[in-house]
Amino acid sequence: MKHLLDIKSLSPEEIENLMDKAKSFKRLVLNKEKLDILKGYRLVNLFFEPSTRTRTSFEIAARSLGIETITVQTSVSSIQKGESLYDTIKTLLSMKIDFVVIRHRYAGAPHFVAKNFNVSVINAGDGYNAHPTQALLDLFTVREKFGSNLKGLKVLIVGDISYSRVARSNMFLFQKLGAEVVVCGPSTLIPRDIEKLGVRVSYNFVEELKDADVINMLRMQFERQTESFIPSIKEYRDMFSLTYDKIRYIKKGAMLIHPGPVNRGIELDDNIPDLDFSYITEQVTNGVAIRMAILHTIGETL
Amino acid sequence: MNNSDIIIKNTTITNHNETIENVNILISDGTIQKISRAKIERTGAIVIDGKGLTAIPGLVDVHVHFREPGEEHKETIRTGSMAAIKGGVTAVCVMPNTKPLISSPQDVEFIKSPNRKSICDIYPIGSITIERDCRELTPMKGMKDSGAIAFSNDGINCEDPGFLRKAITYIKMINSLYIHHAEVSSLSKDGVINEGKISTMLGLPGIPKESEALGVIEVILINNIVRTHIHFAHISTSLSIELIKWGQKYLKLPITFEVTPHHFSLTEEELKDYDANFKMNPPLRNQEDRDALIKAIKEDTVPIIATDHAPHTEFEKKRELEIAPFGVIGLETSFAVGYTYLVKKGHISLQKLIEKMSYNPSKIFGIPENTIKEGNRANLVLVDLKKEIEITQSFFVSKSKNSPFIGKKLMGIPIFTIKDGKILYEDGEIKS
Repeated sequence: MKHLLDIKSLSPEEIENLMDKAKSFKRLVLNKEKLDILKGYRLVNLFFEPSTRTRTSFEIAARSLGIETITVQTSVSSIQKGESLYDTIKTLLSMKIDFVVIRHRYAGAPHFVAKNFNVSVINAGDGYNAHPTQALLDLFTVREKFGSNLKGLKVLIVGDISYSRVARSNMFLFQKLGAEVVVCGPSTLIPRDIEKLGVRVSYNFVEELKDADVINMLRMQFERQTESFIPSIKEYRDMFSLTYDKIRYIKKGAMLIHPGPVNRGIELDDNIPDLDFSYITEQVTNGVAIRMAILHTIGETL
Repeated sequence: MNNSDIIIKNTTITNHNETIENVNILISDGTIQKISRAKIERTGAIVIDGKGLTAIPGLVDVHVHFREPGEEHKETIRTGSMAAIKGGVTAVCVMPNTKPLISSPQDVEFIKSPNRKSICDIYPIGSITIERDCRELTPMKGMKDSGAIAFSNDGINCEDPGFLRKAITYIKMINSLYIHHAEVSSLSKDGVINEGKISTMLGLPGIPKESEALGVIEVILINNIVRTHIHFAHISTSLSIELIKWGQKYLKLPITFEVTPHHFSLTEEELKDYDANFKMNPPLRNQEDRDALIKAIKEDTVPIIATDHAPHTEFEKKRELEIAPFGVIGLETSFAVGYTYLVKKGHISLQKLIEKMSYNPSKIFGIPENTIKEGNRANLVLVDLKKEIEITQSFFVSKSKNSPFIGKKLMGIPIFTIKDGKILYEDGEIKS
């Protein structure tokens, strides 16, 4: 595996391999241990969009493997002077970089880098296309609770589906492994022809909650209201937020995941992220392990 | 100087209405002097062995963008004309969305001027608006007198029905033609590819086909008031075609339209690698629409094939898909794509292809036609219908190489282009 650009290009074997490795690395993460297996390699975290979790997670994962890691945040880089993506990558690569972890506002940017340059590319989120490392850590977290056989498991993804790279990557990944995927959100935020990709669309959140095993909530962006996708936050909350009054409908044994950051009080009521069935903090820990697994797997081919 | 006679030996002539095999053609003084099965001899004549080649009339492409004035790094009128001649196109209509717009008689004269050093015939299309704000009409009578063959909003995107009504009304008065780029921008919004399963899968904002269809029906209904000849540019969906048929049949309106080669050959699936060489507006649609376009061409509903040749430099296209400019070149591959995807696949005959790429454009736009017959000007192209080549970046003489056909195999490549009795292109080389 030379790159990790999206979920679509991963085989079930590659996914299984990553899950196994992440399991081993998780022990290291919990013990704050460091290995030097990828010492001598250099990684650039190139973040064109803000990030807390993903960026920090990659830094820790890389350093835990002994990789020399530099983070470039474009808000303070020459991107502000109008330098193109092409020239940015070209410049960085002349400093002998082995891995580029890239988060970019435009879909296809990681693919562009992989196609035009000789470096291993890991997609940390491109536009609203893909967020493969998030999907993989979500899968790992779900497997920790439900085991490795996802057949018949119902995964409910809720929120702004149109503009969510997490929704897309999770949709493809969970389907690939046999789970039933249902997307739920305002119809103005469900993309055209999504049923043709094998998912079911629903507007009845409460009804879907009743038999959902995994409740994957997404962040609702405030901007959607001013762009007339939703009439008001209140109406959104009534219909699609996980509020206290909806908790009683949740199936026993179901789990809650969210990619973060959570807007407490918007898509989830204040304390819900802290309740027993929420695996949100577990996801973040698992994120470091998964990213170590990814870097290690790609590192093996260098 | 270079005015030798030309004898093309033993070739097949295919016009829009006939095919004549095993003939010799004598070209002299810019015209076709003789077509005969008997041997022709002339001292000093250039002799071309036409065996295995087919002689077709020079093609007419009614929708191209040559980036002069203002963006000469992408293409000039001269380099664009070279691309045309290489593709067997002897006359082009150039769109006005240059920098500045072609919005006055002087601008039209600039385009037509021999100082542009074009090697093919250039017919300027004028803008309907002076500035891009679509507020003031251009002096279209003066522009027509200076040589503008038609007027358009293409690349300028005037879509306000009130303004369009006035423009089309004025165009009717001066007896000219309006060419409309149909799109409702608030529906297209920030779309970069066709809206549908693929755009959803790739996480890209989509342009719904209904944007084009709504633009089409708006202008059809505006034309119901004015009742003049209007022409729709680059129609890409079956929805639009059905609406045009309705306008023609039910409202009895004189409407023509054109379809591009990339729309009847490629689909949105090409965008899976986020390669901006497949990004254009209107975008590549899905398979159903592509097949519906072919069906409409087959049923003779589509009168004209035109390329919407839109050059952009390598670095403009070699970037994040969402910010790359829209447009692909097409002049040099148009006939070959038409031949490979329509004739070779058995959808239409070669004669029909010539009708849509040469005869109809001439007839509908009032451009002299290039039928190969005694007495006509010698504007003809010798194509090799049997040879298959793979298109590469180095194939193109256009200044820009943004073609969606790079890496694809095509048949029907022009080998010789003769214009006004002179060989302007011969087997890979422009002779000018």
